[in-house]
Amino acid sequence: MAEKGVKVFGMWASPMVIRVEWALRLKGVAYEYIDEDLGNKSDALLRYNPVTKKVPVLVHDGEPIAESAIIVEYIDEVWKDGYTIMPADPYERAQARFWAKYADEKCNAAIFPVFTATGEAQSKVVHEAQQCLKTLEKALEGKKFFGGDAFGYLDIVVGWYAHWLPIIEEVSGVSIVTEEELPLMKAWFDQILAVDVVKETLPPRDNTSRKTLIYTGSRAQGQGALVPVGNTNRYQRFPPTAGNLPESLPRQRIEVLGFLEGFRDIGLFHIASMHQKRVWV
Amino acid sequence: MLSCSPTSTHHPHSTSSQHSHPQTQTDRHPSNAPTMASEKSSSDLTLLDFWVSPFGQRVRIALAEKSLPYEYVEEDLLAGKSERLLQSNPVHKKIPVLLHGGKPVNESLIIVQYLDEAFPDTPSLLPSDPYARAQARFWADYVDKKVYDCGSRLWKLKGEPQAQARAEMLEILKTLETELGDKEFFGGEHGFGFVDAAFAPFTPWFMSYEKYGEFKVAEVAPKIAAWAERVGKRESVAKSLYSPDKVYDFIGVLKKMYGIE
Repeated sequence: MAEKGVKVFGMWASPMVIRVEWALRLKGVAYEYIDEDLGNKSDALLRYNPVTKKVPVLVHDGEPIAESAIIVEYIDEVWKDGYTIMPADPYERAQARFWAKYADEKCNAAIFPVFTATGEAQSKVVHEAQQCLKTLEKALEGKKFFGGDAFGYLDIVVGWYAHWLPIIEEVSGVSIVTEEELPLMKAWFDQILAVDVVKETLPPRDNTSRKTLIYTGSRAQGQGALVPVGNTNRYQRFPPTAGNLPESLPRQRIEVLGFLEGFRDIGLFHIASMHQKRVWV
Repeated sequence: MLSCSPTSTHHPHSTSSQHSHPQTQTDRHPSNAPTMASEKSSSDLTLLDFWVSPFGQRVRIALAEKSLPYEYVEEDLLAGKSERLLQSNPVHKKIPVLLHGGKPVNESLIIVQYLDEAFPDTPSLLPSDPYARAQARFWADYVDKKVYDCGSRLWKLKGEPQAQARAEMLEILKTLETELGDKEFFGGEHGFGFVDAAFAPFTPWFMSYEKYGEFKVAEVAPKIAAWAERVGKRESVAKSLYSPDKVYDFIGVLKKMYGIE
């Protein structure tokens, strides 16, 4: 008997997963959301996505699809009478796909180091992240959204910046998307955060969830849990590994590093090998 | 040295011979080419490309499958990048670039999809069913992310990192073998499709991967080896690819350039 309905296998803090939720909600499609512990993946997830074992996975009437950007196009094609996600014109579609790939491959790789760098090196990586985003920003010129007047495919793919980048900035103590450097992107952030499906789905920014994220993130790396060292502001990996964590690295940053480590597992930062340096004590 | 002027109109191969041989070590360009001059302007397509690029070859295969005439422009990448290339792809400065009515489309798989969508009356590479399309995109993306990068590490590196690349390449081939299964083409019921076009250009690289990795594709992934042979006989593929020997020699040229032993 064939399974019916739509399921989304995700991790609640994942921006890749949220793309799929935005697309489904735009189409008014009901779905069951299954939250995965990336350090202890379910049999179902591994069965549905044996190749990359990552989230998100969409399962539609028992048939699985992986890779968030591919899932979004699938949703647009299946529920074709609903909200229009992809542009209609072939050339515009090609442009949207081009920028989506650019953002995922280049900008994400440029953003991650902002988080792990300190001092002089950090200002350099911030500048590089800005350069990457400035290139992307060109696709916004004269438009409210990347999709034009309406929130579309490229907005779905990069919209997560509007929520996540300010968090990264706050925790790292830097500014990336500013009025001076990236005025179009800054204005677009406001547009994104006002979109109904975005408002309905964003994860909280507060501290309460961070311990869960650290644990999830570090387990995803197969290196054991991070646990607080007594009452101090330091975290210890259990079992401990050799590290080169600078003493001056603030606690909040350690927490969100765990958060981002977890993301590596869900394919957010492809160039993870650059960042294999142990930043845990 | 055979020069390839930017306005020349040709295909890299004549249809009568399997592969043409560049004449001397300084000549990397094909020595013969039929022209399609009379049809050049009818679809208004120009392809900026580099003869041995598997990414460019995907586009050549797609254009041939669709019988779309186009102007082929060889970019001599080892000598530098032309103004036209830099202007058409300022973000990545890479080939292939498809110019349609002068407007550039970049990234090989994006170009192939564009061709399907802009020329809907031609045979399509993606199937029509949304689920099959999503699968095709997934596997083409898998090939895109894995094969060239892993293959490059195989011939660039030595020792432990090379052994790791070898292990990864075997894994990639076995994964693709599982996906292909007993199908004639990756496209299954659709026939020769998007994933076939995405992966076929790597088949001449198998010999080099085998030499550097000390394995045989026919032993590791026999169905892939059989598919490679089948697909190599397909006209669109045969006329777009170069021989394994030419690829191997090209890798040698790259190694010299990078100062790798």
